[in-house]
Amino acid sequence: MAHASQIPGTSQPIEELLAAYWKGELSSTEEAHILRWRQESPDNEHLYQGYAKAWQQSRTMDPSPEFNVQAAWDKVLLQTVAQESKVALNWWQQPIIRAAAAVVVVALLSWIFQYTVFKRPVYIDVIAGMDSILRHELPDKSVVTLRNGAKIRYSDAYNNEEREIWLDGEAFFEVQKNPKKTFTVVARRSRTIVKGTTFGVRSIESDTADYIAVEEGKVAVMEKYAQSAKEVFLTAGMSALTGSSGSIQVQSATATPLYQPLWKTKHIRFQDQYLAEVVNQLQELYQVNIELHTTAPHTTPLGNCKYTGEFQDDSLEEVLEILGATLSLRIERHSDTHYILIGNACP
Amino acid sequence: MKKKVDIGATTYWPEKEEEQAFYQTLFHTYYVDLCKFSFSIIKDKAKAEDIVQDVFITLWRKRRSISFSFSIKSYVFKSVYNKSITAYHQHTKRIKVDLEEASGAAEGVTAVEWIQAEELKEAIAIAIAEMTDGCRTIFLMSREEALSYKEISEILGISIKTVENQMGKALKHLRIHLKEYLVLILFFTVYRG
Repeated sequence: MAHASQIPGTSQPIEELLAAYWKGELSSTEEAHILRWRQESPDNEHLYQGYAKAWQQSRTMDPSPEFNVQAAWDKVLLQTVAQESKVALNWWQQPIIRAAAAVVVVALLSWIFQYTVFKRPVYIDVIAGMDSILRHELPDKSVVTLRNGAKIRYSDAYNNEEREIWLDGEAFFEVQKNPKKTFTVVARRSRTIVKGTTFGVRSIESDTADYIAVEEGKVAVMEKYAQSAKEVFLTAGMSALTGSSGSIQVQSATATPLYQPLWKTKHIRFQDQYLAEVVNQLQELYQVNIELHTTAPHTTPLGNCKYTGEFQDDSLEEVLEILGATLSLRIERHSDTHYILIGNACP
Repeated sequence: MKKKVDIGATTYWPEKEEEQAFYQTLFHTYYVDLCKFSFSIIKDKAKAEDIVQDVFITLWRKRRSISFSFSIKSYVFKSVYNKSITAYHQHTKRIKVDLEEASGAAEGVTAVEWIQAEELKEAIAIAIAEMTDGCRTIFLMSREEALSYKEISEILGISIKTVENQMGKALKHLRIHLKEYLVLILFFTVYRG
């Protein structure tokens, strides 16, 4: 006898059988039973259709977003195969670093080959992820801190006779003293030579110049290919920029620096600087939005006021408080990332 | 039924010369399915991707120490499943039906049809959410074309009979809950088996 919830010739409840049927789990005999049952009466067919729609709709209509395999693979590759087996990745074409949160040290296999055949060096690439700062210790215990997205390369011969680092992006160097082996940072437009010191270099394609700022010690800066043979010496607090044309500009330690690796040092110094620029730097350093409101009409806007001051590792609140006290500004905090400075006019 | 070439059906991790190619193929074969699977549990795209990527990273790191009791494929699905369930339980806003991504009327569809379709989508999401945990899990797994009943039973550590049984319950549940919606769309959807 055919039970209402069973299909003749089978032993399972109808739903169980149909689900297995659509999932492709049934034998051809069982499938035949279902077909026969459907043809037996319009009621059976109607029942079948009802289940079929419920099944089909619940499988196709439940929304699921799109997933990008390639982007995910780039990311996973970095943390797996590439990390341990030194797959050859081309330094300048990294779809991967866009996504990578972490860091990779990749030695290039092809270079190993070249090294054995042509005695060419093997290179180590170190890349900071887009959302993280990376601290990397070099073979001589010097430390490089790479800002988000920065890359450095050095050869396995590093520290044999000299110490040379290629830089793309922004990095901060704490170099171990070694009078016999100079330490050189080769960037897009500049070459910075030191013996043992602490300094920051910014070398970004979209900039018009490379920037160098010295925190401690002495460095020599020259144009990348040293064609002009022009060389400048910087001491602590000084900064320089080298343009693509080979021009070098130097700023003394008492003036507002041309560049400050604030992201690393949190050491910020303003010398007779327009408040608008001060605010811009604070915005970038603390990742906040700061507005200036000039209350008095017909006066110089607050942005044109000049400011001189120095901060080291201070919180934004502390900086704003001091700034406010100096320039008679009222500080309104609208959220963690939004501040308004209100004032009458320049003091 | 169309079956994918099942690279993950093996229980042996390949030899060193082949392992990178194998791993890459494995990733490309299952990544999207695993993400959809995880998404169907946690309803969070970014989290689903994180979970699946984590599982693959762990797989690589522990590849020589894992014993794949059923198959590598079962292992990855099971890991994704376990992580997704854990993440789901940690989630504060449970089963919030999010249909935004799926909205948007198709061409040649009247407003009434579109609204009906939207209602149906919502009804389906609710119906699935209202299944018992075990039933929903099996149902969601079954939607992965790549997973057979046998594999589902391996991943969950249950018998094939239980899978069949829960699938029957899932279908019954859906039919009951979607009945009135399905009548409406009777004439403009065709089932392709």
